Amino acid sequence: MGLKAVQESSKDSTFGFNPVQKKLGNKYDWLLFMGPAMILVAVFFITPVIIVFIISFTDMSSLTGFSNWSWIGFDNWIKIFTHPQSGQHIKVTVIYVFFTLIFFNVGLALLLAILSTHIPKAAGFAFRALWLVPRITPVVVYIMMWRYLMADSPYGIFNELFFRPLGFETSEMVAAHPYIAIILVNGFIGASFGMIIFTSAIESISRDMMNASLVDGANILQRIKYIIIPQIRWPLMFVTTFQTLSLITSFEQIMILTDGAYGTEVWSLWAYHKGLNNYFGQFQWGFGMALAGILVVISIAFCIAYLKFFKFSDMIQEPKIETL
Amino acid sequence: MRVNLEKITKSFKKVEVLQEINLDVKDGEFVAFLGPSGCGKTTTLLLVAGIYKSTSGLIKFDDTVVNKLVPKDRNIGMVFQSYALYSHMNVYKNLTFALMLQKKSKAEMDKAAKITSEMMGIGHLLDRKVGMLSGGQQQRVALGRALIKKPGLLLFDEPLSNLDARLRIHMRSEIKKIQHDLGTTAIYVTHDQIEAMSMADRIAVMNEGVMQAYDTPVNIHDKPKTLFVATFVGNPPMNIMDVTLQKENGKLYMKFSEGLSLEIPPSRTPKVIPDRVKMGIRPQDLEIGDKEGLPFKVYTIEPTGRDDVIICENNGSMFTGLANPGHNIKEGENVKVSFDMGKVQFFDADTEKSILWN
Repeated sequence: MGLKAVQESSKDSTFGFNPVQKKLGNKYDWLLFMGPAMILVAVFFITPVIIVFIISFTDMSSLTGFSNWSWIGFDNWIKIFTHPQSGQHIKVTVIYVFFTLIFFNVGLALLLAILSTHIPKAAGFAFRALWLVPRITPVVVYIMMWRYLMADSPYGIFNELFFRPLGFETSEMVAAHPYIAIILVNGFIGASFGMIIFTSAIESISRDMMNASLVDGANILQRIKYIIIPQIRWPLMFVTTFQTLSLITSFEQIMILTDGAYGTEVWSLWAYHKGLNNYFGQFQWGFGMALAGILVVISIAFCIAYLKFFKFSDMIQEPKIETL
Repeated sequence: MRVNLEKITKSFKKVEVLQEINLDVKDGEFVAFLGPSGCGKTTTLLLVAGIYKSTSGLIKFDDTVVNKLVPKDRNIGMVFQSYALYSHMNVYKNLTFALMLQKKSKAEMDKAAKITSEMMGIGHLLDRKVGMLSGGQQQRVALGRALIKKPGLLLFDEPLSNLDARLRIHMRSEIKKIQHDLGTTAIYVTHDQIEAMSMADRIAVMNEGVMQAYDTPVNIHDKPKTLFVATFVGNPPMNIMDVTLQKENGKLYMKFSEGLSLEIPPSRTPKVIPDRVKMGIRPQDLEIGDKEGLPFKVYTIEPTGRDDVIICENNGSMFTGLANPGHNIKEGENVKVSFDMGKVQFFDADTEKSILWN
């Protein structure tokens, strides 16, 4: 007996005869529940996105002002695909998002969550609290700290305390290894988000199930592979999706650390520099919006891909069948 | 497989939850751990499973000390109260998980899954996700998962308490039958005395980390070693009253504060008589009438179909009796309660130990 049959039978017996419930069972009730959220999404997401796309088809910039702009069709979009720097921006964005996500925001987060749930509770809590410090530090202070960690001798802590005494050559590390620098700087903040979500997910796996896997003969690695990871698939998907999207669109740490120098200008920083910064003497709103529009399209594509990859539909279970 | 617990203790930090548990389980025997919540019965089971480590004492399987062995090396199967099925796997994968970890071939796993699932009556459900099964079906999968490894010892942690009453009675007999047919040694933790009485060869009654008695169901019921065992086992529970025992003319008498005095037969005469004595009598061993006995007032009557439970009151103390449904006792009535003196129990009121059976 499927859900449909249950609904039909209950309609016949209860709902059909109860005037109060019949009145409440209105076709448009869902609007009442969804309405407020839909209004918020419409005002603060859909509308800006539409405006972004509209502006991307104009030549609006600080040269044209808000009155002298004109429609230029797909010129901005074509410019993106023919721009000599596009390839470099795509490359750094992909490297930055992929490695920060895999090694830190999901990988390190999962490792920290698993480690801190397998040690005594108080120690695990202290350990996790420590990992939250980068997140609660103001971003300017945090980046200044990294700058002096990675600066050349005699100021840099890594260089002065580790590399020089051990006889390695010292360098300005941000300039020498810019990709590693931006990945580390973002990763140490990003890991704590997933860590907290994964920790609570792991702790909510039933003790009995963990014990059952022990009795069935799983060692710690097998338990992680066959029990913990599948059991936390939903939070894993959530963190992966959420962190991919926020990494694609985040640039503030990179802006403060390098401002795009050493080839670290990721796509969102490029969009910011073009659309909202007059470093080159003009705000290229139209072009900047086209760059931002690409991010919107890619983000939505990622969302759909993740939903398919993590088999979202499987996670919604059918009702139980009550027979022996 | 034989199981021996020798002077097992367990403490969590400073809290001692088990005090010197000694227990032997014979090969093929079905032993129940019975006690209220928090008595240490599940802790003992988890010690046997190897999930907890004992603070001191030895655990032996046959003649091997297993204290240091991890659960997977103990050759055990376990069924949990919550079933603890792997909710992300289907029935087949749940059943064969242990075999998969042992790197058994697909053919072997298929064969074992087929035999086990057919024995459990879930052969048609192998590709279902466990979340789609009913409580009874999940219980069968859990049992099948424990059995598929052909363990030497089966451990049950209150496996039936999440089932509805009718299904519980059905599964009770099914588990007992399977255990009997396979001849596998089993330890079964429960707080339900009917489960323990009906399934087990021997019952270990536990309370507050102390093993109160370890004996056959009949002996546990008829010859309770402590006051706790007497009141915990039996339904409705045994009635307990303060009495004094007095010798007169070579005969022993039981005296109530109401002035009633009853002669105790030789079969129920304790060897030593302490100062303060508690008398126990089961509801089925007393008669409620109007002729002679202790005076009581009927408080309520609870019909159960087979008998009516008569709850009487006297100066704030309650007393439970049984009567056939055809009786004409009414609520609020004054009645006299008389005892079958061949069935009374006596306990030392200070040590709470039986003075008949220790």
